[in-house]
Amino acid sequence: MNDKKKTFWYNKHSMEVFYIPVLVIVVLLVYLPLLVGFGYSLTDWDGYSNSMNIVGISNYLSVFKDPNFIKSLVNTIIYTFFIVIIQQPLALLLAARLNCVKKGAGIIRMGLLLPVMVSYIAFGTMYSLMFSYTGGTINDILGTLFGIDPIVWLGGRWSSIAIIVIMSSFQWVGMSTLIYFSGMQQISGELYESANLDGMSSFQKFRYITIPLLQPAFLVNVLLNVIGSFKIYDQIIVLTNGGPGYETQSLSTYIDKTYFANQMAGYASAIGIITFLLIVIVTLIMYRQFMKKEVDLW
Amino acid sequence: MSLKKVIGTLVIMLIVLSGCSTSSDTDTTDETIEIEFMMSEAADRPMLKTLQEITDQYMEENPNIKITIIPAASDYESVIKTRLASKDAPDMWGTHGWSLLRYSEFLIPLTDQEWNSDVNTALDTSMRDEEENIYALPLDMDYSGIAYNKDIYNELKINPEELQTWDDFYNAQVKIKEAGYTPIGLPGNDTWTNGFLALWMLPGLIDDDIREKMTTEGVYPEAEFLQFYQMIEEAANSGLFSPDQVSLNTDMLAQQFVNGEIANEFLAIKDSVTLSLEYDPDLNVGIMPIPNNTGSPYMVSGENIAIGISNQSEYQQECLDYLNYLVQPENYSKLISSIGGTPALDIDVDYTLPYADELEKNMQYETEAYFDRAYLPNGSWDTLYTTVQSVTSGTQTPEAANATMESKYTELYKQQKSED
Repeated sequence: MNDKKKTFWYNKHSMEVFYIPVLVIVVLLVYLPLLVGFGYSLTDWDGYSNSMNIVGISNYLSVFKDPNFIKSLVNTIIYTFFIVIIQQPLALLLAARLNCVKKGAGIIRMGLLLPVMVSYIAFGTMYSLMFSYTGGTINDILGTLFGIDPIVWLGGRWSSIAIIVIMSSFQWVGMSTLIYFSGMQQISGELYESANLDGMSSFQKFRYITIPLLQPAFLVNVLLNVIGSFKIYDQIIVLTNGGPGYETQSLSTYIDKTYFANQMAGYASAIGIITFLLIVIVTLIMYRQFMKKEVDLW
Repeated sequence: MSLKKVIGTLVIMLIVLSGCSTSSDTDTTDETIEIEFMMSEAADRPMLKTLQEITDQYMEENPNIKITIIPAASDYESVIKTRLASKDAPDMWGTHGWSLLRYSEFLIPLTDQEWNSDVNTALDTSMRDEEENIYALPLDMDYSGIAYNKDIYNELKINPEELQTWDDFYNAQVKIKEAGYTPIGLPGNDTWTNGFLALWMLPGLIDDDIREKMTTEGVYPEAEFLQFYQMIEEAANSGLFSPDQVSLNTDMLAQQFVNGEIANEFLAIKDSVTLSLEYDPDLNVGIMPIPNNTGSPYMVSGENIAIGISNQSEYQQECLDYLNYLVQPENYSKLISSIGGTPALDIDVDYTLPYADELEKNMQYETEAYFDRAYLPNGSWDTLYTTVQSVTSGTQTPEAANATMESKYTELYKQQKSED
């Protein structure tokens, strides 16, 4: 017995050794690139040549004077806000409805998940064909049914942003629905039975039982949605390429544009670091708010 | 098992695994030389199919060489830059107009090749450095003006030879607009195409003294650029551009041009005339020189499809041999006909351009180099075409666009100077 105690396997910290490979991979693939990116943000590197100079924090100082960065930041906040506002309530309602379905729930779940499996390129091309000025489905329908002249849907800032928001919200609503649905499945039926005895209406049960007990699902969904929307990229590239001009750029597309097309990798890295910090701050604030609510519940 | 034994086992496993990967990485046969060739043309272009056929033939004649051609995707430029940054350049790649300014530090000079003396001298400004070195084999060259639909011009009795100044051109376009046609097509879905408005118009607005100051002192020609942005704003306000500037792409534009809906295209010939002729080989298309407010009209010329050899490649000699194979008259003729462009080499080519007459009649005019490659700091192109689209779509004022361009120009010039 004493021998066994001495061996490694019986040490209470022994299993921690197995974290090492994962830790090494995370450090190599996440923290190291972040550190390298921070290093580049202090230089004037063009992104491909062999020479670069240290410029200190001047890239960071330039970022906030750049009107196109400000526009990209504002656009990103708009994308994030509206995608969350549209996607989450819709997903919650769909999950609530799905929770009541007795037959064919599997098929409905599959149907909801299908758009998630389609690539942004395919989805975006479809939207692009729908909203195209020449030969676009929407313009054709409006013209045929109501005699309306073709509308340049993707030619202005707000109409383009609206189309990008709609596309992103509806493509991923299935994923959020399934997370809420899983959360609802965890809620004990006894609570609803007690509520029935107390004479609570369906809305009251939803308001006072379902929603409070879905807090963990809310946290996961909203966090994933906010982080995903903050990094919105593919949808914009496919639909508008950030245009017209800089009108629909997000932080991610602006980083890409600045890094590769403008050949200002140092400056783009500074924007990347700022974006990262913004996501961390927003995530922490939201996490704390949700945790506080969860604690209050108990 | 003790902690030491566990760590020891992990270390041995890592060594074994890394040893395995190393051995497989270097597992190449002694006989076969594998050359990676990233081409700047998309897989569906006729040129790429011809290039592949010639390459297959070359590999048949040289069984120890395997050349893999990778066609361009939309992120071609980003991929090349990333690979250059990570010191993982392909053995050869298409330089898409940037063999000198952007890629020369990564390419071997090809000045000692036999075909060097055959390169059209119009490419000297854009492809040769101060020591006359050339870093890529140019297959064709761009020699462009404004492409126009002759049927529309004939119908409205507009003589393109009389459109000497931008006022003449503007008035003619208003007439075209009033007749129910779209005067100028801007395929903004391919955002870069908007930049051609600037490339075509700026040489006529900026004189030699200012150009000298731009390249030597980094002086941004604020007034001239503002004038340019104001001119395109006026044209946009007059409805001279196609309305769907974000969804229209070059293919759709070519179709509309062929259908007689659009009167003019401000694009390189390969993206306007060549593409349109693919849809309708009998299209009645003309090419006019670019109007000029301060002098005679001019044409614009520059590097188009060109191939460079990496200075990191182990197989530079084999790549050189392959390039020399491409320029053998028979192969070069095939390549030029598949490109449908103006030959960059003065080699006897068995091919006639379908629009040769149009180019021939414009030979009397002076030729300007692509303005961004000659006078703007490397990296300005993106800002140039984005600001053009901002103004033509009415989302930015000429003043705001000019401020954006000036800011980027200044930063990039500073960056370029510090690298020099």
